[in-house]
Amino acid sequence: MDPILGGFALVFRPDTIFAITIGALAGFLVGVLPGLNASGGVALLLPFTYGLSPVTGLALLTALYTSAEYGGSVTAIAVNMPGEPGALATTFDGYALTKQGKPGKALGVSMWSSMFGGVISTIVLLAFSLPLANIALTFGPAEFFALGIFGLTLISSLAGKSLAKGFIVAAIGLGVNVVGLDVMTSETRFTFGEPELFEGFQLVPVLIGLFALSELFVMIEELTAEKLAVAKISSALPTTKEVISIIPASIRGSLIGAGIGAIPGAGKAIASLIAWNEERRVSKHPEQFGSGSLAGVAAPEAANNAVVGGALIPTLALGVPGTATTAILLGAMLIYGVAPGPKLFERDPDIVYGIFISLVVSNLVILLIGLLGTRYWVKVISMPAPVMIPIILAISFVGAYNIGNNMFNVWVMFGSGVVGYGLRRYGFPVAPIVLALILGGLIETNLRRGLLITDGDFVEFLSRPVAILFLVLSAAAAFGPLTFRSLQRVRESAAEKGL
Amino acid sequence: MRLAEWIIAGLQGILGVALLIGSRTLSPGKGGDPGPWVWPAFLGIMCLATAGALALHAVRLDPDQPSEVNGRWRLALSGIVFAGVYLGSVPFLGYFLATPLMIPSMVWYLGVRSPRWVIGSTAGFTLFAWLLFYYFFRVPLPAGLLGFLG
Repeated sequence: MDPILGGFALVFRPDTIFAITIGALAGFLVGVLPGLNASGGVALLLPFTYGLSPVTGLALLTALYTSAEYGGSVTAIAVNMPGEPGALATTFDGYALTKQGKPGKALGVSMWSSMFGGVISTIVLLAFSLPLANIALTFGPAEFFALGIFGLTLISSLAGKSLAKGFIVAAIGLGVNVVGLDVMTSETRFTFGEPELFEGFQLVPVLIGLFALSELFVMIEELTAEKLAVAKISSALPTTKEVISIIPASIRGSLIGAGIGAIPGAGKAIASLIAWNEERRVSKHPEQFGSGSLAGVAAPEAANNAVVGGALIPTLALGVPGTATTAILLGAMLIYGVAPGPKLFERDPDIVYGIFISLVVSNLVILLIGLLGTRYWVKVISMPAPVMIPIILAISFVGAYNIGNNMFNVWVMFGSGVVGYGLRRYGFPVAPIVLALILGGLIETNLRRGLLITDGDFVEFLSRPVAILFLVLSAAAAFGPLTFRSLQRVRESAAEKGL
Repeated sequence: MRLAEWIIAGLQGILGVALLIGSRTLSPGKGGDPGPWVWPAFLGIMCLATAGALALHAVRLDPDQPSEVNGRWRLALSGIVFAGVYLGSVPFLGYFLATPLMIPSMVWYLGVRSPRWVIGSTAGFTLFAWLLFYYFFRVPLPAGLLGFLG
């Protein structure tokens, strides 16, 4: 039988469709709740899949993985609380739309673009698995270092009105990032002998604090008599025209997500942030980004979900997992008796195509869950602010506590919340801190690894084509807008003088 | 505004100095690796530079510029205190005792008097949290005083 038809036959069975639905629902819950993540959810459900056939079991687990990425966006849009780091970029425009009373639009765009992201990345996975996996594996310290530097150029987009303030808070983030065990020598740095600090500051408690908790304090500050009443919030979903308008942004986001997802260790937070930034760069209305742009929701959401397909590329094609979740999936495959690697495509094409097709079906099921659930989410968001505030606080506690089952992360979240509130109150953006926390370790580790390999020769370290490309792009991204503005000013002054 | 710029510049300056001093205690690198001290030292210098730039900006700010800060910060401060007390009480009272105490008191404090919202939100969320976190996901939340229930 044709392997694609064989894959269809394995997926379109009642037990597999049921497994996909269960996986998608569980993943949605995992994604919505901060502190719980896809890898934890997959590990939790893995023992229940032992009796299933390989495709059914893998369909359930990949549906959970995909759905968790989508679920993270719901709280990001509803209450400015990214359910997981990949949903960080969704808060920028998604929460802005909620504040405008249009959460239905943001949730709808998120769900459609997530679906586009999932499907497009599956197509990429289907068409370019082996060549992409081989390219991804050529990424060494120099490429990762350059990717980190390229990621830092996002500060100019995240800084808002003042670029200087963006750099100032990013410096704080980079400074805080050095706390913990040194990755190369395991020497403790700035831990003051506290074992909790050996791993440094965990990202999720800082994220919850800077975004959700600080927002909660802002909400309390802005409480007025009108807000004590039930807010009038529209549950209207995006129109067909709006859905069509986000397709280009979703395609761009998906390609970025699939590409970055294929690089082991690069991470979905970087993919969604870069997708948001690139969308802003190509947009005709960059000024709308950060204040409720639909494309600003679509691009990171598509990228976020496309990372799943991307991450499966090296896992299936080479047996190299790029993320914690794909590592668990790899383990699951071995349990089912499926050995990943280049020969998998020759040996078990039915299973490979079954996984691809189940990914597409998962995304359609997630879309259905989203369409049915949006009305209820909008109802939750419509609660009076004084009722929502303590509930967000109680959920934030679980999110931070669940990271290491200790109070230390809870206090980190609280401290980040107070700092975030203070910064926001005085016009400092908080997103660059998170960006610096995500990228600081990547830059330092790879710089030092690379220099160790080249025996301290910086020129040799950076003489790799992909690294050079990223650095050139970084320079263009950092200095391009400044040069453009200066040229514009020169032209304007020349025009004023009548030259 | 000017005070805020000074405070942030000061804090960043302290962070920069701490990074520079701390980096001196770290070991030098071996082979091509510059060692664990280089990155913190570089960041320390960067923090000091940005703190200096911010301080300079604060000096240039018009001292008569009206403050953008309104008087409602006390409300936010009360929220911070509320959150701090709640988070601090969870290890002793347990999550499923501290939370149903915090929700109605905060909802009441923030101005909602309707019993439907006060009781409904408390009971609804506690049940939801118990089912999801305790029963389904088995999150080992602090049991506190309720620890004897197992």
